[in-house]
Amino acid sequence: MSGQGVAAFLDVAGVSKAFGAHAALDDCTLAVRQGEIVTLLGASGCGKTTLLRIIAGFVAPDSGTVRLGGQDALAMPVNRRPIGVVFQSYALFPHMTVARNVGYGLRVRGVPREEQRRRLAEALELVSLTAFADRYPAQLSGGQQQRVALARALVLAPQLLLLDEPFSALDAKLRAAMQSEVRRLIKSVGITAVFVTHDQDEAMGISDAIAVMRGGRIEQAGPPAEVYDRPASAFVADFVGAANHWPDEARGGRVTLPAGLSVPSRVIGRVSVMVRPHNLEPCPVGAEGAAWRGRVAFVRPSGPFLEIEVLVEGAPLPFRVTVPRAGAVPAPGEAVALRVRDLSACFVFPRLDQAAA
Amino acid sequence: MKRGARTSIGDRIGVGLVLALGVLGLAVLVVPSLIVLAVSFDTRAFVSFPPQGFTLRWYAALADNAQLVRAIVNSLWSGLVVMVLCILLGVPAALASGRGRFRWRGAVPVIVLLPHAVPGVVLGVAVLFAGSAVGLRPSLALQSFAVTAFILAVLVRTVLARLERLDPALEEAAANLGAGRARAFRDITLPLLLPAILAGAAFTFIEGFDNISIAIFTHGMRNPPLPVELLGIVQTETTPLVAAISGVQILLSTLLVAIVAATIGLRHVSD
Ligand SMILES: Nc1ncnc2c1ncn2[C@@H]1O[C@H](COP(=O)(O)OP(=O)(O)O)[C@@H](O)[C@H]1O
Ligand SMILES: [Mg+2]
Repeated sequence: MSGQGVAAFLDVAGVSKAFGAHAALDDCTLAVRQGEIVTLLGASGCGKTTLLRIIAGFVAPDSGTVRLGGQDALAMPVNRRPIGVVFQSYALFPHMTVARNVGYGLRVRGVPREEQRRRLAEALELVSLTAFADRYPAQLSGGQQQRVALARALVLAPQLLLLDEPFSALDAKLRAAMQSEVRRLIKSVGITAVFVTHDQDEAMGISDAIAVMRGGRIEQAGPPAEVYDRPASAFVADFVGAANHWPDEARGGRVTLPAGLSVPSRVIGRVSVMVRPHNLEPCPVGAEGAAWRGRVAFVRPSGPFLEIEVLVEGAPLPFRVTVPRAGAVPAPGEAVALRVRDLSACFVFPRLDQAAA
Repeated sequence: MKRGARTSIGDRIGVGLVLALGVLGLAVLVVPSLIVLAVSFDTRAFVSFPPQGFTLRWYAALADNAQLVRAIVNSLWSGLVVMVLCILLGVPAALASGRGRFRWRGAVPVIVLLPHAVPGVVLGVAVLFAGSAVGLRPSLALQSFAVTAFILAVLVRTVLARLERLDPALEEAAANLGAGRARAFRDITLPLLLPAILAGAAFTFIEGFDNISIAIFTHGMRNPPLPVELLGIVQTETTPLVAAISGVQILLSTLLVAIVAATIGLRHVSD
């Protein structure tokens, strides 16, 4: 995201788009710096694809501007925008071989034969598909099709690459491998990229910055760690990583938790104190500074960590606690107390009457 | 267990049904054709089954009969004109309906279907009367136009069905890679629609060649198409000549289907 004073390479300002009475995008603003990978993260239907389609030129916005490298992108015809797109369905031409798919843009643009051949070979090499040049898309695996789509876009050396949920059709294992592969590829060619996903792990894994979208708006944008550690709203806190909710009252700029601990609050009245699972620590009942008491519901390993679910007295939903997999492990049914590791890493937001989904 | 047993009985019934329908289809469509073909080679001068011997004399008689040859040529012309008109009108209509953004695009297939919903005899009489009202006499052209109006729906529907299954992102991808509208149509949409266009075209050709209910009212008096001519012949002629004429028709249809199958089969088109 552009910090103050740094010119954005892609600058989307005040973009709105309605389909009939339904506002798909509502005053959307996004700035992407050159060479950055920015992820649009949001639930299905929040307008991510629509924003990409407006940037690519497949649909025109009702209002707002899109500037690319300082130029008005909306004034460029769709087939003249220096923007590559990797479609969610890949949209490979089924009647063309891999080589003809990847070379299509070069042919259409009338690149000289010799140069076509060279760039095609380079692009296939880049995605390790040289051996598959004569196959048809239907004869490729999902991961290979995905790489063809990537090569087809990159061979034209666009200034911006748009990827719409490119991994959604892949199985979990391949997805993880393709994520780092695609990030490596994008970084190796140094292209600016806007990437769309509804998967927060994917967003964290691939991006330099994340823009969390909700209901056609961008709710918060920033580096992954910033969005995770300083969410701007309860929605963002929930969407980007797990958070435990403690309903409480804020008075005089503070919320006082059960053990007399106090957390600063910018709002007053009914609030939700949100604590990340790794910011909690189980301790013996009665231990100093433990804010909550409860009973262990279950324990399950999660990589090098243990995830513990605790039924906390007074909380509407069980708390999730993540601890390193070492030392004493509380057993299901055991009474435990929970201590906050870092009070400054708790977030306080106004409580919604209905629990936000 | 129980459930598994039920499913397998269901499967058997399903398979049985498919087999029965297949056999029925074979019986109704293929067997009569084979009988007619067999009869057309009979050495005797009357139609009887099973046939005896083998001769090509009825085909020779057909080739010698200028009136019949003329009728076959008329029908070929009609098939060709109907097919070309259907492609020229039907493909744009399907595209307008499937890809257009205008308000009444949903009405295109309905409008196209209307003449198809009218019984052929009624349509034939209607065209005859309407034609004479504006001074158009029955002719090969009038017959072809009427059959075109009748059969256009088949081509539009075939092409539209294919178009609706095409990922719209394909055309967007082409545009994104630099292709203008015309180029994207030529390189992407058209090749992917071609199998459907060819299949629809084959149907319309056969209808143009074969139609009788409309043709009987609208054909030119000096230019009867083959089915009309045939209708006249069967009333007096009792030799296997009639079977030989049918044999020629069967041959033409089979050839056409084979051409389409080969053309579509040779293209690497995956749905
Ligand atoms: N062409 C369209 N016509 C009508 N509604 C649309 C169209 N495209 C998108 N929408 C609506 O706009 C909203 C946002 O869609 P989209 O951008 O595809 O969301 P996302 O990609 O985040 O899942 C959805 O409610 C969707 O139904
Ligand atoms: Mg989408």
